[in-house]
Amino acid sequence: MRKRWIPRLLLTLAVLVIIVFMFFPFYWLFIMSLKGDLDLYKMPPDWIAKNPRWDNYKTIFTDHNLGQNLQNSFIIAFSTTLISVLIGSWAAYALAKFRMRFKSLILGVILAVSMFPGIVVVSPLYMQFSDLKIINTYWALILPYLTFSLPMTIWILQSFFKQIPDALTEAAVIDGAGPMRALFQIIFPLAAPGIFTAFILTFIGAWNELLFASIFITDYRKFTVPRALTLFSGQYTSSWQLIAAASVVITLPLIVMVLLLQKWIVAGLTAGGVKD
Amino acid sequence: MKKVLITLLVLVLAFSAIGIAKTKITYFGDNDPNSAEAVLTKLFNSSQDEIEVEFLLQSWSTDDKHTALVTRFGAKDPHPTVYLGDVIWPAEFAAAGWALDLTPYFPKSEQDKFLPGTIKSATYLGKVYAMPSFTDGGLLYYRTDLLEKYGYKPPTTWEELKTIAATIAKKEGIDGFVFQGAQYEGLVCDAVEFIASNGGEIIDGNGNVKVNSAEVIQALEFMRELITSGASPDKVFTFMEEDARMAFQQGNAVFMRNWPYCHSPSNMAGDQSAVKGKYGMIPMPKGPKGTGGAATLGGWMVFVNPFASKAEQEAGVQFAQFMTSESAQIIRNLVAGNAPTRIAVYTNPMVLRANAIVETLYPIMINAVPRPVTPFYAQVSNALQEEFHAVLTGKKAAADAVKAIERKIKEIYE
Amino acid sequence: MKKRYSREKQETRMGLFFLLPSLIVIVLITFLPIGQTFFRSLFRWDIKFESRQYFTGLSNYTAIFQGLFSPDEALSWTVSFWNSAWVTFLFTIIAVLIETVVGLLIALIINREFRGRGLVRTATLIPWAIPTVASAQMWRMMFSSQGGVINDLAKRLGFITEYVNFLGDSTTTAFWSMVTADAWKTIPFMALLLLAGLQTIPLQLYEAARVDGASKWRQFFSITLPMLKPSLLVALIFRTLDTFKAFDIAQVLTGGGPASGTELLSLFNYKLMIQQGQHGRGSAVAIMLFIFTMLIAFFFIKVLGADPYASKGKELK
Repeated sequence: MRKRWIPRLLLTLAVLVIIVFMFFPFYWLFIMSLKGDLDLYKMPPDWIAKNPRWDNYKTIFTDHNLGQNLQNSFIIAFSTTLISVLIGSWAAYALAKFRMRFKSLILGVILAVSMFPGIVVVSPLYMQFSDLKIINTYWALILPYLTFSLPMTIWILQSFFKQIPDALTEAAVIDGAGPMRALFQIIFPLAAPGIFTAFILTFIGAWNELLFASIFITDYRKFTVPRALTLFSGQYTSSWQLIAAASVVITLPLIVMVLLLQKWIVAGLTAGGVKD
Repeated sequence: MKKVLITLLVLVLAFSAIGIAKTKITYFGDNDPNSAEAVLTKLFNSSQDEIEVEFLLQSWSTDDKHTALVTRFGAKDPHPTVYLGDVIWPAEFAAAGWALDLTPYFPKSEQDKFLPGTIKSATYLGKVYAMPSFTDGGLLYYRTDLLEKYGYKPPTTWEELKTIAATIAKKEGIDGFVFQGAQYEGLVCDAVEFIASNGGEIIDGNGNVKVNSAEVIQALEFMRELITSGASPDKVFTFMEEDARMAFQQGNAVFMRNWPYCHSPSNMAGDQSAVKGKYGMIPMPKGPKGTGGAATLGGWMVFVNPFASKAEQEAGVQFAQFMTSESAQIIRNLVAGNAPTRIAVYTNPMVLRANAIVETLYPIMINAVPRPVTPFYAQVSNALQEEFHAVLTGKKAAADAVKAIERKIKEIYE
Repeated sequence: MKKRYSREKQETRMGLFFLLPSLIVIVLITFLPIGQTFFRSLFRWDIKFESRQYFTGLSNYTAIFQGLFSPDEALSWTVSFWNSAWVTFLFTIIAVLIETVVGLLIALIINREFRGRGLVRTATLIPWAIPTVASAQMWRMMFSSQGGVINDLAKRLGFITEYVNFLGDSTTTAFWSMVTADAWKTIPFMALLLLAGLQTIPLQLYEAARVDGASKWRQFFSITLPMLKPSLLVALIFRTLDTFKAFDIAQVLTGGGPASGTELLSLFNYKLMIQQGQHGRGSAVAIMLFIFTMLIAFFFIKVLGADPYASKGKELK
């Protein structure tokens, strides 16, 4: 009799620990964003914001241009995602559905590219972008972001497309549809979870990226949000409450998106293996 | 007749358009749109019609500012036309061909109006590459109440500093002397003060490496002694400016080495401070082999971009001259409390009334010394930071450290 | 015979047409630049001084290896390179180990039916969604000795008597702080990947084992782990590479840490190439990094048998 509730208890305990561990840092970030200058450095620190300074959230927009940065990040991430899904789906379609001669080679190349460290391409790309005069433009980031988003998109989509029965596409071809139509009208709807996953992973990857964003954009008006976080301090001081407020603001869109679309995300990451 | 009139009208409009066309230049100023830099830029724009300056915000960190400029100038970018640079950059940017030679616009008679140390930092191989805008010098903050309580006079030598700090710290249960001991540029500033106040130098005015000398070794050993004697707590191993200020401002330290910015109503002179009215500011003490205390020169200067067009350069120089003019420096002092680089401002009645501290600063600033002037300052500083920190934390003997520094600097110059 | 061959040729042509945009992008933005980086690594190229821009052949590489075999006579940047390599190697192994073990635990928990399962799943997605810069700043504040909650907790619970500057006091504390901050962010991702793998294991196997009287432990080792191996290997290869390439966490959290104790290779490379403007040496370091990642991938694919292209789930034919 005794034995039965011990595992249950351990399980509940484990679950609680996990939830707290995952949520707590974000709670702390939120608290810090509401503190004033002196409260920030107090030891022991306050665990709740005694006099919440909600105007910290206003300051980051009025004094620090965060609105513009959010816009930049959004445009860049969204463009990268669109392009990536579009041309990536073509590639994935070919790899999944066509009988091709160089398939393993191409698959290997794509896999290899997804493994490259970004720093390897930074120097020559910078020189080239300078010559093309696209430094400090959106393209200066959209193009490099495709290097990591394309392989990942192709990889995810081709594994989803493979699971769609050939019979369906063959039927469409018999009806006279070209491969492009087969792709968009038949495969896309069926592989929707995969498309969503590729979309979300690419968007989040582009939104969060720091290395390229630090190098290819030097004009503060074009900074993306990760880069913009560096603007919130002074030469000796660091306005942690502003950094915290900005961090909360740049994270919220992602959290909302993730929460709304979590079923797709989980389904996508598990590549359709989930049965329930 | 009508045709003639129309032609005349068009010509007149065209010419007036040319007349109205302003020279547009860009300025890498600061990270704060409300800073003194931004205010002065707006003032410049509204005070004349020929030049329009666009104020570009950037990261707060000096390193990031440096990286952004290196990246742009490496690609020969004509923007920013004018930029604010750290006092340790002139040699580097001049040697790289990234700073316009301002000597033609900056005659000796004008140079003499500035603090000598600042002109020295802006000079490379005999030419001046920047106009000093505002400056900084390290100094010693001390608790007047505690020194009085224990019957001590403010220290003028190292030994005095060490003894007083260790004694009072023990008796009061607080920290003695806090300074910037983390492994970063600030450590170099502090160390240079100890070295210079002992008559030593790292690289002399002719570019010779002089770090391997008894004066320097003694200075580094003294910094370690501060720790081992209990005069300084070992938490300074990670202290930057703000950490030291926090400790002193909360009343937990007897002495602090820091920059003048600490003394302001938003910091220690304000109501949130536990030491308001209880501290004084004096030059750093001197070492056994030195003739006087030393202050490391901080501060910023205005550069002009040589990749800009001739017209832009001219406009840039005009703007630079405005930003470093006497009125601009007065305004900057009133708005941001920055120490001026022009000697005349130190005796300006408005300034003295608003910031009496300026009077205290003058004797410190007139004798301030630059950090090693070398085109490879960043790499030299990296080497210095590493070795100084190793000595401070007791991981290396001072004699070994200076030998390592010598070797590294030689390697850098190859 | 002929029909099939020409069909394949036709599909190959069409396939290449579909692949063309992606391949063009990949070649132009990845392969070409890598080639150029390799070319640049054969030079000494300080973007500030033309006197320091000249061809040096493979000497950047020989310098790097001298930094490994005779550090006392080698140039200091090469010694720093191997320091960073060691730090990165250590960091990768430890971080991936932790995230795999904890991730597996979480995956096992989520895999069971219980109330609040959705909440746990949501909770694990939050850290993954937060931008690394934000989470690094967050952990910086939490680890701080002024206003940091970790110090507060540790002192209250009696683990420490005085506040510790985790990120600055010593390379050890800074290193483990970085591991913690990184693990927090990556455990969820690992948990999800492993969950996927767990859910492909047929329940009948467990039923059969239970009927045979096998204990939970036995079931875990004989059924779960072996069946999980393919997914585990794929998850591992990607997580290992991602961790090896990490940049943001080191840059934001410690800036390289006390005495370069947390200077991961990507950060070291960034400092050398971008901050110091050394494009020749920096390119050589980048190529070395590239070689390291290829070696890691090779190890996982050829030696351990990871197969990233195995189709997950069943082919519905």
